[in-house]
Amino acid sequence: MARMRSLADFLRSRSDSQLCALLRLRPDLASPVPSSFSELAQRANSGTSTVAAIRTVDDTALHILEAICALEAGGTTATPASVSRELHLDSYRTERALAMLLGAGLLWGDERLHVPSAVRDYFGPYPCGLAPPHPGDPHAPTQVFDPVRPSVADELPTDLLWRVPRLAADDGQALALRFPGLLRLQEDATWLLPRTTALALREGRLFPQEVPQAPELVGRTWEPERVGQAAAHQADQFLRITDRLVSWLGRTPLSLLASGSLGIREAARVAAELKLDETTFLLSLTLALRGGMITADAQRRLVPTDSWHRDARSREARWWALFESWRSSTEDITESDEPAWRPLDGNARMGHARAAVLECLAQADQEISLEQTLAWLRWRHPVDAPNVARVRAALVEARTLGVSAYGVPANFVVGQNAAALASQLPQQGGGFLVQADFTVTAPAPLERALELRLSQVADFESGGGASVFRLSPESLRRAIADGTAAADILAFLSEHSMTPLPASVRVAITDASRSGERLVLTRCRTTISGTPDAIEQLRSNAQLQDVSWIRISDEVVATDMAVDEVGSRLARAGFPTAQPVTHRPEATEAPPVSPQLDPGRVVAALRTVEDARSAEGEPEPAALTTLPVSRTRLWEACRNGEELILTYIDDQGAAMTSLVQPLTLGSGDVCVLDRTRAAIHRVDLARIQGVTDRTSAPGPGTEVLEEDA
Amino acid sequence: MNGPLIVQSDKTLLLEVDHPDYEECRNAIAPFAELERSPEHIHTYRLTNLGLWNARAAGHDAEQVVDALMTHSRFPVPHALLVDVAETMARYGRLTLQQHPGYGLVLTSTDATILTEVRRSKKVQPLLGEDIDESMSRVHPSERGRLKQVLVGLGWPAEDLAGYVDGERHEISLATGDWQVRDYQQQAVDGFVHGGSGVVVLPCGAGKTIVGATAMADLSATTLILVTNTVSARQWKAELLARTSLTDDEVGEYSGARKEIRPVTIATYQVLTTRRKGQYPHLDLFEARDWGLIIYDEVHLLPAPVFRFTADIQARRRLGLTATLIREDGRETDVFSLIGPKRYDAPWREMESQGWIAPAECTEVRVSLSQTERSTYSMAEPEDKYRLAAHADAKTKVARHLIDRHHSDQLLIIGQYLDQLELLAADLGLPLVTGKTPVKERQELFDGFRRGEVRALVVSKVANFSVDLPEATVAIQVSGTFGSRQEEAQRLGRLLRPKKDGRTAHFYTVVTRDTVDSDFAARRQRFLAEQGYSYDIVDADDLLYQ
Repeated sequence: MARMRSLADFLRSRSDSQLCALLRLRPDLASPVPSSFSELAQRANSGTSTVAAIRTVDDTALHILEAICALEAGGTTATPASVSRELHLDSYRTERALAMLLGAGLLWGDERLHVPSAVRDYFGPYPCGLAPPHPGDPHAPTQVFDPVRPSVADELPTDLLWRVPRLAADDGQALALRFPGLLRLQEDATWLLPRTTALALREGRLFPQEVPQAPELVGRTWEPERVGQAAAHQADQFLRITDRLVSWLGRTPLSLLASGSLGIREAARVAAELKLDETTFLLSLTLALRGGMITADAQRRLVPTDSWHRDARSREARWWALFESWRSSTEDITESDEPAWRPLDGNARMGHARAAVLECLAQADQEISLEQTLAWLRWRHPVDAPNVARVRAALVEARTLGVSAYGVPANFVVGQNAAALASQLPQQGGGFLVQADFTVTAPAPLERALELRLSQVADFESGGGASVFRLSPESLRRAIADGTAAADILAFLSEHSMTPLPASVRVAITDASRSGERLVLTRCRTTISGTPDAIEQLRSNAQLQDVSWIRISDEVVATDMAVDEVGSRLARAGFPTAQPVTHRPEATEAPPVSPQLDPGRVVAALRTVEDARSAEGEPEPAALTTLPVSRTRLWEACRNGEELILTYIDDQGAAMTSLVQPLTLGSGDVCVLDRTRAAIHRVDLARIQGVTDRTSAPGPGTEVLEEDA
Repeated sequence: MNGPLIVQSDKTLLLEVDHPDYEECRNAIAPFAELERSPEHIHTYRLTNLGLWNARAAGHDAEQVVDALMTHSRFPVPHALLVDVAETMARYGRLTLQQHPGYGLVLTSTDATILTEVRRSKKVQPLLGEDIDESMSRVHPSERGRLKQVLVGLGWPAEDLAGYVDGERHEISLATGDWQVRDYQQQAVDGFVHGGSGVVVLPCGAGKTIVGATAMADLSATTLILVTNTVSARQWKAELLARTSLTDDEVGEYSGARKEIRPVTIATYQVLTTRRKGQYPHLDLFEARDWGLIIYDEVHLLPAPVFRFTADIQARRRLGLTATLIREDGRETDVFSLIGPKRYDAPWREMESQGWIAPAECTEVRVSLSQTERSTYSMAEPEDKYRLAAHADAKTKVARHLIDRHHSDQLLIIGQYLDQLELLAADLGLPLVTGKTPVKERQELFDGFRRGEVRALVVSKVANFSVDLPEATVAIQVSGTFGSRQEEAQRLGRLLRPKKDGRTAHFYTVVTRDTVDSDFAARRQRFLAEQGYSYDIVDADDLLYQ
């Protein structure tokens, strides 16, 4: 095996999974995608990236890293054994910390450990508060100040002994007079505490205290099953809260300020209207926005998206998407002193707090106090432990979302197991109780479509294990105004009510229709006309129950669903294709600029380039086929890891054709792994002349790139 | 996990009535949860700070509350709620009101920081005297009630260990013979006596006067009883004379007509709140004797001056009685903090099923405005609309029909507008009782009604409360005080005294459709609907055609 000579060699020697872990830990290394391992190493050794990486290590590892720097500065090459010996650590803790540092690319080597220069820069000229050895005799024992009396240590300034071994001229002079030979005068007239002297005074220790260990987390234990059930119930409730919020936005779009933010007062008003506390409301709003359930339309109003309307995923899949959004989100909804909430306005510190708290909860696996959480986080993130407010907020968010219950993370979160969540979600019921006091109580969670439909005719009153709604003249009039006929409301309530409808409720519905059906103001995106019989068949078809038809007349129905979706639903339900007569598109969400980069793909690209360079071979040309292509096509290729043939004009104006794998899609360019040239580079979108698919059948020819509408 | 209780995250508790463990669960949560509504299938309770503190005052701790919730809950109880319960209950008793042998009434705390916090409150400062040390401050004795009220508002409820004055002793015993105190009445009294002060909520006709009399007998002390009007005062007196050892000489009436102060004095709110030259001269009645007990009948009607004065007499035992603790001014919390916590509450339908109150059927009869009335109504100013709707001609026709239909029953026709009632009385040929009717004449008419000599009466809101007409079986409401929920309940309450032959009572409310009358009717019916009464709705034409 070749001797490891540099960080690049070290990175090259890492396994794919270790490299993937590195890129996940330090995503900045992959953005933009490095073209080789040398570039990757160069980037890993940059100051900014190193500082960010140091933030990811715990206090034990940080102390070890500083100790290795100090040893290296003293001319000693550290090894795992020497680190254990110098810091009085057992081998398990040392190995664990070294693995963390090697994994983060903050250390390299095999038997002998080396720190990248940026790490040395981070700790400055005096790692562990020790001066570099005297150039003349680095290993010499104390020469001038002899004998070293330990009691002198007590009389020296702590900073001088442990932090900065240098004193200004005046202070140094005084100390030098008091303890002749202790300090060495430097050329710049400052005084230096020599390394050997300092080590002697410290009795050989590198740090004043022992290297910190992870605080013990001890608290109340809960049965995992109980925790899982409680969290799953909460998860289900959060899903329903979010659906209710999005449904509400469908009726009452929420206007953003001209700055694109939402006034806190407005947020408080809406939260109160939805009977939510502000934290739950903003969390739900944020995750709905991140998850593409809502979007801001052209009038800067938050409205539901098509994908929310179409969403037919299971509860666990939908919750998991919200959870992933939360885990990766950086929005800080806890800054109460902020005058406004800005959609998707990231605050890295909050994202960090969420991740840190989740890690702590998983580590503890029992109900621990806030103080214990904070102490652990201070150890785990010695450089930037999240503050109390953010930790508290992250804990509340985790509880609200159903990530944890009783202060313990749910088993399905720890195990990353959506199936476990599915088995613990509360069983859905298909019915409710309509009572004479106009309350509608669903004693078990309702199916989504049913609950949304119920929320159209009744006002939400209370949520939790059960859902309580209340029918009121206003809610009934609202439903009628949305196009639901009184007869439909009656039929809906009768169908799902587990008890006979009270007479007063029946009459109230009739009353509301009498006063509310005279004028109907409604908004829809798709309308369908037909004979009354055909329309009736559509409305009563079980497969189309969730389309939420709005009756305009006996011959016309409408829906807020997009016209294409309605067309395909009709076709699937076995109806002859009805020609949609009206289509009012709105609030369609654009695909994100670039899908999240898969570290595995970057590693694979690096290996490909590496292998190609070493073999100096050319990739096989692919069969050229053409497909209609657009920015969306590139985005899909990025997401799916597909290969394409790209025809473009290079920087010198030459026409090029390459087999590429798009890695990231920026606003004006695409970063590709160019298999033809065994390189990773960027291509301006404006210079792309055509894109052809590698695998599909031969087509008519290359098409010019078109921007999506 | 299949209990009858669903604990919601907004602190409401839904209790399934048909569940086999309903009784057990209800008994477990009753000490700390407030019954909010009790319709037919799911009863709603609510956890409030005040309810939890009252539970602490009654000797229940957070662990019991958490245990009750977790034992009976169908779904996992939200953790935040459990934490909140524990934290809320832990706040009770950190401050205490005590009688100090040297300093008199003092506010103390084992946690000096809490006392410092409340001392800094601008609302507390005028109620406290000097600071004795960091954990003790003097309290002005007259401010005991107000201080407790303010501390509740600050979230640091004080445990009142200063005790009650016994008051002047006066022997009172129950004259049981052909009657017995019912179990629920005894439970209500026990709850009150154990707690010292508080409110008992029982449906109309369930015998609240007996609860008052039993409490008086239990304490055997001079008693001041505050009632809504003179007729009610006389009913109380008659009932006390019949049910206790008290004699006519021992019971005084303090009203507009008489000013008797005796060991048991019954006063009206009206006379107490009579104002002369900016003063309330009759409020001195509170100090006229060393009362051992003060009973507030229909405590939901407690007028503001009496509220204020009640804050000053916290050393005396106070018993509030009501059927409908709904204040349209939203001051229910003040009632609890000044009179005392709710000591007993029972769902109306449950009392009905046990036979303690008469079964009742409620019917809303819908009438339409005539063409002329409709055009007048359309053009009317908003403030006149309800009056116009309430005065619909068709209501008279319906009332006449109902009187004929219930020809063997005793009826009350109840309304809000005097001109409407006068017209109805004249049209139907029935006697009319309003506020203007002299007390003597009123009394005679009510007596005649009780004896069956008068079959039907047209009454204004003077008959809303405290008028005991046991034989009334049918009530026809033609108008009301807008959307008042408690008025609706009280009017139904006139019919709920159990009938000798077990007959069902009928409550009709005649409402004009497509007007504000029907909007108000929906609001008025809410309390009764929440108590499980379901209104049948019939069209006037259908009714008349039948």
